[in-house]
Amino acid sequence: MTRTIHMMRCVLVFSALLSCAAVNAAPKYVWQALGNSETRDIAREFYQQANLPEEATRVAYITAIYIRGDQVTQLVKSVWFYPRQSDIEDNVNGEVYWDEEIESLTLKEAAVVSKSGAYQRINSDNVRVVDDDSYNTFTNHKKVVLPYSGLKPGDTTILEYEIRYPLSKLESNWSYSSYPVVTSDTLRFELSAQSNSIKFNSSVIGDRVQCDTSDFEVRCTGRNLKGYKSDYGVIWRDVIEQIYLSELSDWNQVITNSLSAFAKAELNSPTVDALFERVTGSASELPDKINAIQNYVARDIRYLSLSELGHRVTPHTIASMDENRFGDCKDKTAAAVAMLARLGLLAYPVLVATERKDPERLLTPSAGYFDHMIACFTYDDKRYCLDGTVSDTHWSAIPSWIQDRVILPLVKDQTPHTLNVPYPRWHLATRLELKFEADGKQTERQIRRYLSSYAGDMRGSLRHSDEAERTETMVDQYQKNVSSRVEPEFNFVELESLENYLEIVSTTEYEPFMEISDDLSYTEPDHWMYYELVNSKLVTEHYDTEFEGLRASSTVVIDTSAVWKLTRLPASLEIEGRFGSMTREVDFRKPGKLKVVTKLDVPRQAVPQADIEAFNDYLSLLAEESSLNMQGRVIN
Amino acid sequence: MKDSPRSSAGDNDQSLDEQPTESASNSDQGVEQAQGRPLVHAPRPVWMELLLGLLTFSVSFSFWLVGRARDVKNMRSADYTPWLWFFVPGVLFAQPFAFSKLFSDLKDLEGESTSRFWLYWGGAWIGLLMLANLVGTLAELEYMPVWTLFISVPFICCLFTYLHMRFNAFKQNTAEQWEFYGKNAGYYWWEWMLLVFALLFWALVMFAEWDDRQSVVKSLPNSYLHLSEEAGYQLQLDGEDWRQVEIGTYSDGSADVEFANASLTSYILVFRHGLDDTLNSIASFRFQNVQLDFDSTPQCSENRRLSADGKSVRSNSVCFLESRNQGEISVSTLVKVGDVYYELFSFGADTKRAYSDIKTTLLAAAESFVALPAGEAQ
Repeated sequence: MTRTIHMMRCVLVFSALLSCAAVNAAPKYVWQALGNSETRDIAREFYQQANLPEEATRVAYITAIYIRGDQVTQLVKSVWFYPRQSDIEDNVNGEVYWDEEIESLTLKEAAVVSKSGAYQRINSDNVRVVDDDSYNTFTNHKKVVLPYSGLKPGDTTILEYEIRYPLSKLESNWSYSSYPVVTSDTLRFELSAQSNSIKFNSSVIGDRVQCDTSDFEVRCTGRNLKGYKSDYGVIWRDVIEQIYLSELSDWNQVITNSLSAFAKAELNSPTVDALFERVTGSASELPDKINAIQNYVARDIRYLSLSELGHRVTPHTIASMDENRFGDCKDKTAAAVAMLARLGLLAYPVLVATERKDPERLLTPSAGYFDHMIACFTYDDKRYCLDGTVSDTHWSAIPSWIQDRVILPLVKDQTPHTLNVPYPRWHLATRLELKFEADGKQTERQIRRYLSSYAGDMRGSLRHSDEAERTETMVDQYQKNVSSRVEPEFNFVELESLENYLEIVSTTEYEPFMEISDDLSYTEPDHWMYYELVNSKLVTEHYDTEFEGLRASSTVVIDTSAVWKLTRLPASLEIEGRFGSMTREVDFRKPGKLKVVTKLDVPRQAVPQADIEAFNDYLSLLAEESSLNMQGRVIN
Repeated sequence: MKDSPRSSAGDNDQSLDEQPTESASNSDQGVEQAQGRPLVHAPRPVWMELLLGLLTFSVSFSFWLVGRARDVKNMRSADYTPWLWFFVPGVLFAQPFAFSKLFSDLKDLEGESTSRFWLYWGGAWIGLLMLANLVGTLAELEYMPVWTLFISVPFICCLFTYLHMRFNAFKQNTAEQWEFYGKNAGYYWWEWMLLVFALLFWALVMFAEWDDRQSVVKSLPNSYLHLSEEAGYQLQLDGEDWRQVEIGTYSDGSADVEFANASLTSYILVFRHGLDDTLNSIASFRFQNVQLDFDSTPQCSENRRLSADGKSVRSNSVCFLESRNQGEISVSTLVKVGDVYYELFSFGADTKRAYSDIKTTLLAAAESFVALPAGEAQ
């Protein structure tokens, strides 16, 4: 089963749009071809080198930003070198990210330059404008794709374009982020920003780029920057160099501005009073009322990204959302906050940066880091967070896709921090009842109880398929992980309802596969614990990473009394290492009837890169010890 | 015609129980007489009794006591059952009563001539005998050190020898009242048999000791750290009288090292297992094999935990069989050294008292069995 069941809903709604949102539509992009561009000179100069790189290389990436009064102009020049056929095969196109609603885009150069000096501009008929963000189908954030013509190994591509937009049309404050490093090496990086209207508050992370900053001017340069290594389980925004410019200097300004926009959802209107009564009226206890609110925002209101003009950061009114019965993360959060507050709970909206785990990198106050919104509230002196875009995880658990992400609660004096989760992401309890009949047959009953966010993930993967598909998936999973001899029957507990757990129950019978006249020498693998351990191995190679936590308990009850008297029992375990523990107690009160309880706890933890191999070895060691070995004598 | 005890002694060499059958006639009370005088065993030199007692580990004094009971019975026409006195040295609680009666009758026989020692210190003699017997018994049961046994037995021999001197003195002083029979010098044939058996026993003990010493590689101090840098493991052995013995003494020759305690009741072996052997396969193999070492089905359990380096799992399997009188234990500890498992296997069986110490020693040795840190192993 896939472990990464992410519900990407509002991703990038804010981050790309906050800096460039506008109310009025802007003209489409235009061509303004240059006679002899700077990028062409850079390419020709590059070919003068004695030794050209052997891998794809970003020869130059130069950005110049000018803020004159209300007008922002951003000029970008990019030169790439592709020495190998394989580099070209890797879908090499010029790409420009563009919000057509507020930005005017001028393409100045897009061509291929060869070592011989040959120059071939792209055919403008081939240019395409496509939706960039598949998760946000209603955003107007587009990608302009420029297919280079005649590109062959050893050529360079050059691209120059200019984007203009007015500051006054932004829905939020201005900010700009730049990442000097890409996966390929960068030979020349330059960023300059000048302003005569707003003051820059800037931050630079990484010592390979040198920056001179002042209130109205920023100049950064980098040379021969080694490309970063992409890695599984690592968010690149958490590890590479970063330059961030903003006009704000205090997180309270971000909070105030965001709350001001949030208030436009009309949280205190009489319509919301009526909605609250309608949603929670039939529930008596407080947790049931919270359940009702979650069911409403997460299930009754279907998700639809509506970050159109004027609603980049501003939710629609709750009334309009209720009428339409659809909404995005902001809309759902507004409804949740409004109704939770009516329950007397301290509820507030929270911005989430779904692509960031390290709050230390958010040095410059800006809402531009965040791309999602959830509702958090205090209940029974604990913080809970309700993600209205997640319809399968109970509110008492943080949905797995935002666990450990950077958040900014929209509460005065808050600063960005990690959404800490006090429980492991992977949490389950299993029970296996196995009985050997006198003729050697085995009857088996398995119960897998998934808890917290893992229950949400499992529910999400099972609930959205029909019964036949579900059964097929379960049988396939059983046969891969337990045994292909049988096809068990499955049923589910709390599959549809939004509870904090989900049970998968299977029953089956095995035909005799052991000689009942022989003594018993038997190994019963703890299949699901083994499965979790093996699948929990970290695959990060180059960076420090984090393990999200695994807690599992298994109870195995084996009855051999009809055939064998057990003589050698499974070993008890007291394995406690620096990464986690596995303990096992063996209870053998009645001859032939064995009860084994195994508990596994590998807590959430940071794992330095140097320890990843040791961590994985430790999980292998635990996996090996998960099986139960026993011996017995035939009962005459 | 037997005129004197001395002259008759040499002629009465036929009886195991010192019975002069050809001349004895029994009274109604069973008193043996000859020529109208009670038959009394001739006095024999003190050194002969002492030597016999020492060589037979005081066993000869049980026979001696039967003879002296018969003497008193005949001298006093008293109500004695001589053969029952054979068991008096072995039955502690009977000793105060038996010896009080004996001394009382002797005192009556001796009359005024009873020495001051026996008048005033007879009770002390009984007390010392009981104490020495108690010490000897406790030493045999291993509640006291073995050396106390080697003190108590000679002491017992000395006590009986001193009593023998009293008998000798009385008999010699009243020789005219008795018809002496038996050897006044030299041993009877059955005493020679006793001596032969005793010597054989000592020879066997010496041979066993010699044989045992043949397999001893070295004697170990009471606290010994065995460090095998080549194999990459170490174990700590705390206990008295442990020795490293030659490989093959207890194993089939496949052990890496072997240890045994001096009493031969327990041993510790270290085995190296193969590359393909897993923790489960070795534990299963050992479980099946160890069953054969016990008198009946033992209770077994296995515990696994992380090794000190945190990179592998160590297994500890303990089987034991404990009864009221004795105990048996086996311990198998598996640790991973490099790519293979090393096993410390130990077995011990002894009386309940000694078993407790053995169990402590073997479990402690198992606990101390660890792989050397990677840098220290060669």
